[in-house]
Amino acid sequence: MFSDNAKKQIDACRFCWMCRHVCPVGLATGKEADTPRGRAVLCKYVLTGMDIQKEITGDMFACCLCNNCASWCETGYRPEVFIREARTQALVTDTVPPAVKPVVDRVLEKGTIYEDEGRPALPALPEKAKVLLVLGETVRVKQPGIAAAAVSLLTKAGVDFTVLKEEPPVGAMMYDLVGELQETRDVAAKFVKAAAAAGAGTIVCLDPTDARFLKQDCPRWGLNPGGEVYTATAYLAGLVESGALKVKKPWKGTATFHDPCRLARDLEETEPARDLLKACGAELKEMFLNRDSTRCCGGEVMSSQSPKVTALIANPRLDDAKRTGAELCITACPGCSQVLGTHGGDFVKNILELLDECC
Amino acid sequence: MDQERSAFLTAMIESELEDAVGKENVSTTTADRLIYGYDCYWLSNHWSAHGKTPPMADFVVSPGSTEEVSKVLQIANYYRIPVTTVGGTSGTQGGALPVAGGISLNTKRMNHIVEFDEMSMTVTVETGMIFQQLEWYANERGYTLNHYPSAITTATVGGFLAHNGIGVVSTKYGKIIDQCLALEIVIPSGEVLQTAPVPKHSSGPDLKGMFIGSEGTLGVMTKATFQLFRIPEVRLFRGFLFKNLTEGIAAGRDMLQEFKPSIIRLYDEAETVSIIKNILGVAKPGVFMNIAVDGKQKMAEMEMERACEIAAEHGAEDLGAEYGKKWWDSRLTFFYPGKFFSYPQMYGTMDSVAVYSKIENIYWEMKHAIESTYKDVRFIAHFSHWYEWGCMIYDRFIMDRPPEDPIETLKLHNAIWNTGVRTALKNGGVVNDHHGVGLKLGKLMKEQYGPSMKVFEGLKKTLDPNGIMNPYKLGL
Ligand SMILES: Cc1cc2nc3c(=O)[nH]c(=O)nc-3n(C[C@H](O)[C@H](O)[C@H](O)COP(=O)(O)OP(=O)(O)OC[C@H]3O[C@@H](n4cnc5c(N)ncnc54)[C@H](O)[C@@H]3O)c2cc1C
Ligand code: SF4
Ligand code: SF4
Repeated sequence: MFSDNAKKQIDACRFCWMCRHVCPVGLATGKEADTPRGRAVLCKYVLTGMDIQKEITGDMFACCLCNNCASWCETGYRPEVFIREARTQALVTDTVPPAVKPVVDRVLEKGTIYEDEGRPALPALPEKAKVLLVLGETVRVKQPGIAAAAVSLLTKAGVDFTVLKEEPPVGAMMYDLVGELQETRDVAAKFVKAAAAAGAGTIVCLDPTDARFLKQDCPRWGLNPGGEVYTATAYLAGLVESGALKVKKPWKGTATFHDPCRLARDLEETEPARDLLKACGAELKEMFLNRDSTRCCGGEVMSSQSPKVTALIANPRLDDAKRTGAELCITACPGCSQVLGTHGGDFVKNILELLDECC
Repeated sequence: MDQERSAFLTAMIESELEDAVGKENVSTTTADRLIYGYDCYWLSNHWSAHGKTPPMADFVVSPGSTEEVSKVLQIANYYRIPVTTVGGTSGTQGGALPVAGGISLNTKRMNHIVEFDEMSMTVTVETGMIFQQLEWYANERGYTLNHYPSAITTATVGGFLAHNGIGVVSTKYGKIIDQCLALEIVIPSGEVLQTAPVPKHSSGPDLKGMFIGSEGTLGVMTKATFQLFRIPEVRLFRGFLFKNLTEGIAAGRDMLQEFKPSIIRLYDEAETVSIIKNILGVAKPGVFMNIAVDGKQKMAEMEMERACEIAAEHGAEDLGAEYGKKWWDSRLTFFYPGKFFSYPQMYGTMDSVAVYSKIENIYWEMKHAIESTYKDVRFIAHFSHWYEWGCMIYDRFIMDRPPEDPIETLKLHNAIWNTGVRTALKNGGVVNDHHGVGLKLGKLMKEQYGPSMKVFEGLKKTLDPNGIMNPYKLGL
């Protein structure tokens, strides 16, 4: 059943209405069950013995774990705690909704939500180096252009870096989809072992979801990748600031920056990407909901099992971006690039790709 | 046999509802029906916390447009099925509880802006939108609705209209009924009514006013037009400590005769203690008033100067601006779990409103009636939302340890409410100022209105002859 920590959150959220205005899913579907309070009410009824387990699992998977609720919560509650556990329970009780089941099965089998492994063609890199670049599953499978841009940037900056030849799934997406199963810890342990074997003192993640997972979740399970974990944006902003990376062909356009949830809220990082944009010569036009108030795009995990709802979430965010009048919507997360790009086309660009063009 | 027949009819109705709004927008799952079984009404929380099954509708139906609402109401009216409209479920009076079963009509899919008319300074919106979303939409374009209730992040546009709600800057910018210019309503026949396009006219009585505050008992409000304001250049705050409520109330009244502060909050002695300790670091007797004036800097400064002079005329000590600024920034913090009174504490807000000659007496009479009748119940209050002629009293009773037995607690809760509201009524107050009546206070409506209740009953009979809309609410 639920952990004591999850029960504490459920008991608070079920009698609280204060953060529904920022829940992207509740706003998109209009369903009470899709609000943070709604989910807590349902979990509480399960705890009191109501026979509704099968009916609630769809609502538990219909959360993008964007933590906007938690960020607004003045008391510090985090619905993600009980939502992840509710997902684990769906597995245990064999009540995963049919639409989600194939993705869950895949994640259990392969450790990733994707069918393909994704091995972008990269130049030959050393076995060991000072910096390990972690591509992550979304980059490998869906956004190989971001990997190419990252490799190009690090090369231009003269960084001694490498990429794992057979990079295993990091485990972050699996943690989002099915919660803290032994299988999740096993996947994470495999990745951490492989990363540690590279012997790098610095680990740079292209996906903020991976950075968060390695920095905040893995340590709870005693897993340490062996180096200091950085987001790609923070690391590259450091290279630009130190002069190691130089902007040679500034882009003089206007851009708005979509803060990825994991980066802005979970890792509290909002400025390095903006610094990079400014370094590129871009004029920044902020969206009304920016930085830690950012609105989720839906995310790749949600998109993998609920593309319709994801579209309902992504499109209003693109509208936010378009209203700024900017030429480009820049983001710093491969998942956001994928989801927003699917609905927004060329209007959406990853910061690394723009930076690479300018350097 | 009967059960089988009813199962057949239920399935037929379900398929009609699905035809009206789409299969994915009709739910009969226990989970979806449970979730609408309690709102922010303390007794409904209490009921659920004791593991009791809450009141449940048979269908949760979520229409996405006026047309779909119309179809749903026609079906319900034909089969005589109760319809309880539900928005954010944050009402405190049990108004959204589907106590008679039938349909919970969820409005939250109707959450679009219909028209933003900058020339006329108006916005038209579907009523299922969470009010904060509407406010942000306006803010992004340099405007505000100046409706800042504490439930702004939780409640829908329709919910506030249904209860005739009020926000913290109402003293200058009015209650929601003052801010709403026009309404669209669907009545049980399925007909769509439009009120006059503008609020001030002599084309008959105020049709809009008949629906605002009607708590879903006459129909479903589907669209509303509101006034927009430019975001004020400044908002200036000031705190004052008065010797007693009499002086504080008189000062507020005198300010209102000259200008309109956007905020006046006058706290009774019990509430003042902690505020003063917070500001001065030491205890000091008296009653605390926090005011704000806003608008163009020049004008706001003039108003603040007069506010300080009027407060001084009533013997107040000037406590500066800092508390007010902090209060404004953290005005919603109080309502988060652990910061607010929380279950199992028993509490209730019995807001009333009266003219200046009666309001202080109402406070003392209610405080005395409640504290002397009920052991271990305390009563605190502040006065906010001021008019030229009177003001609102926001009084709250709190019992830290209510009885264990749920039925005993239910009865005690109702008895305290009866005592409080009847005392207000006896002394020139009303059943409620802005939280509405709902299930909780319906029985007291006749005590306030007497034979005048016939007007509401007549309206109900005409518009909802089968009595399907929100049964047992508003005393109708
Ligand atoms: C923390 C907190 C703070 C609050 N602060 C304030 C405050 O400062 N000011 C204030 O005025 N209120 C306040 N309230 C009370 C409450 O939020 C309001 O009464 C609000 O109007 C409820 O809106 P809702 O959308 O949640 O409606 P619900 O609770 O879902 O419904 C309330 C009633 O409105 C009816 N209704 C809803 N939508 C429609 C519609 N479209 N057409 C017809 N009927 C409809 C329902 O049938 C029901 O009777 C507060 C409540 C909470 C929980
Ligand atoms: S996260 Fe905080 S604000 Fe949101 S429902 Fe839970 S307690 Fe309320
Ligand atoms: S994490 Fe995001 S999607 Fe999930 S309940 Fe909170 S606000 Fe909603």
